[in-house]
Amino acid sequence: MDEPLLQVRDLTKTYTQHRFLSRKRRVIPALRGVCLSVRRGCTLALVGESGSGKSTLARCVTRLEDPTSGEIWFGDTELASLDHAQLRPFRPKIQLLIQGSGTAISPYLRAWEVVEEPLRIQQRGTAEQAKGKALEMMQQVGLPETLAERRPHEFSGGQRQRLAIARALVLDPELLVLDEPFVGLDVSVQAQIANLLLALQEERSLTYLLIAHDLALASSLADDIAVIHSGIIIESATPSEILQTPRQPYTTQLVAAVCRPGARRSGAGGAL
Amino acid sequence: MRFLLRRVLHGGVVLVAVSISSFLLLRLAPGDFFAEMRLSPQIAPGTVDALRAQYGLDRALPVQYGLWLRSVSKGEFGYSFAYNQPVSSLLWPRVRNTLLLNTVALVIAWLLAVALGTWAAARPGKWEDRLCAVASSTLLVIPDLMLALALLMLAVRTRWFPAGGMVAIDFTDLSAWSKVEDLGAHLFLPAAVIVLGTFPLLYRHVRSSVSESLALPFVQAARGYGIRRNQLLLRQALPAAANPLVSLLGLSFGTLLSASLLVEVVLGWPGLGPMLLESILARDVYVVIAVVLLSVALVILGSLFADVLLYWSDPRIRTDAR
Repeated sequence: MDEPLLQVRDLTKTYTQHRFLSRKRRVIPALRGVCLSVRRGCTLALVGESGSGKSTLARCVTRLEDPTSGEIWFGDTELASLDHAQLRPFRPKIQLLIQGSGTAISPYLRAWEVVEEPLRIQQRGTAEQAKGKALEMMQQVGLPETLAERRPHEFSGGQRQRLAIARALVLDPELLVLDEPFVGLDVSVQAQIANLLLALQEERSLTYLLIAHDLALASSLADDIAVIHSGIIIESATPSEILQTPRQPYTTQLVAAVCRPGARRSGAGGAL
Repeated sequence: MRFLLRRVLHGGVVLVAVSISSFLLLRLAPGDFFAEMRLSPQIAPGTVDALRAQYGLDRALPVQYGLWLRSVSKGEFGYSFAYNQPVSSLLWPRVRNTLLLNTVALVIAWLLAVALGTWAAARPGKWEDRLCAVASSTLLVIPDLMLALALLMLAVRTRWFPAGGMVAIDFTDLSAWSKVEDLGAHLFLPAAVIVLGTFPLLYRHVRSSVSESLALPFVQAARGYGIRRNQLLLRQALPAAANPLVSLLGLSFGTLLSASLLVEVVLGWPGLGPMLLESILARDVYVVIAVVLLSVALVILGSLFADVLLYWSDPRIRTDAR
């Protein structure tokens, strides 16, 4: 179980911004030498504030973005140096659950077509088989077949997130990169989605790279936690180590920001 | 269905309003078709008065409007003073010529714009994209008139294309195939001017909508399953970019009669352009009103067409309208 499925070595990504009416350029480093490894069948949570490079890392690992330098090892294959044609066979194995379920789903398709689309693109099976597989996948994420003909905009936020999960899993990936899967959902729906993700991980022995800004939620799901700050991993440890003995001042701040039940009563000296 | 009915009714109201206002404006402007005759010493004032009475110009304005409406109901659209015949029989052949020219030109301009715009949007910042940007903005700042004159000069110098008119003198004697050939050769010059004039604007719209839609999360998601580049553009990015483009298509449908007016005058295409200019100068009011109404009707039809197309293509709009 401890063998790493994904290893990122010294990954950098810089964006260059052109100034208006000038030849000067501003170089913005989004990732500055990130190293991390995700164990097979486990969950690594990448925690950090907005703009710390979390999403950029997710997009580099799934190769929606070309990294500037560094290596991405998936099993025995180095992905960062592959071109788009060479990547095609590896795409299904690494899937990204894109942030924001509202815009991540095409409004032009029916629910089952959304889930079936990756199969069609990867030319897996006949049209009938693909539809069957899509409907089955929808069932697995808790979307009844009665919803299959609906359009995504008729769905609730939680249902849309379930649909996005079904779409990400329909190609049977080994690694699922979850980019802020709980953003914009009610607390109760967050819990439902979290439980669904845990159940699916158990069932399909999936490996998760979970990107989150909420340390509390992340530590309840993850086996390991990496804290990222301005493009560098500053600390990585198990959730309990992070919560109890944070080594970096930034991590301490993150831990302090976690809302613990009863914190108010004891901290504020019994007001209210 | 109710949505459609409401839009058609709305269009009808606009048409009536435009007919009344254009009628009023043209009749309230000083002078009429016979004003110049009064200046001529060879025509007796009585004759002019008799002519005006014959055409009903001495009646009250509402009565004149009523008379005109009656002639519309007969499909005549009023009477031309200059040509001494019903406006409709005068206009139809010219409407046909103008529609032919503009349809050909706009179809070509749209095909070019969609193809090049999508192609350039897929290569942001590359030299191909920059070249297209420079070319389209250059074309955008050159006035149509200058384009027409430049192409006219080219045609006259090289004799590659006939420099004016719509058909050769011996057109009626030609076989069916050479008729088409001859028409195409004559069509080339005016159509090229209109294409070059409208293409840059369309191109820019296509380029920006497609590049926006390429950044949409669900299009990105499709890249994540390993979609091929061409499929990504055709199946994902273009449909997602369609909404603003469909509205633009409706608008350009509305210009089918008017896009070529100036070009027709300069290049001698026997369409509505030269006739409209002449009629305005001569105050041949009923001809002007008929052309204005036709253009307005096309604009209304164009936007109706765009709405129906959007309604059909975008499920989100369908849900809201219900």
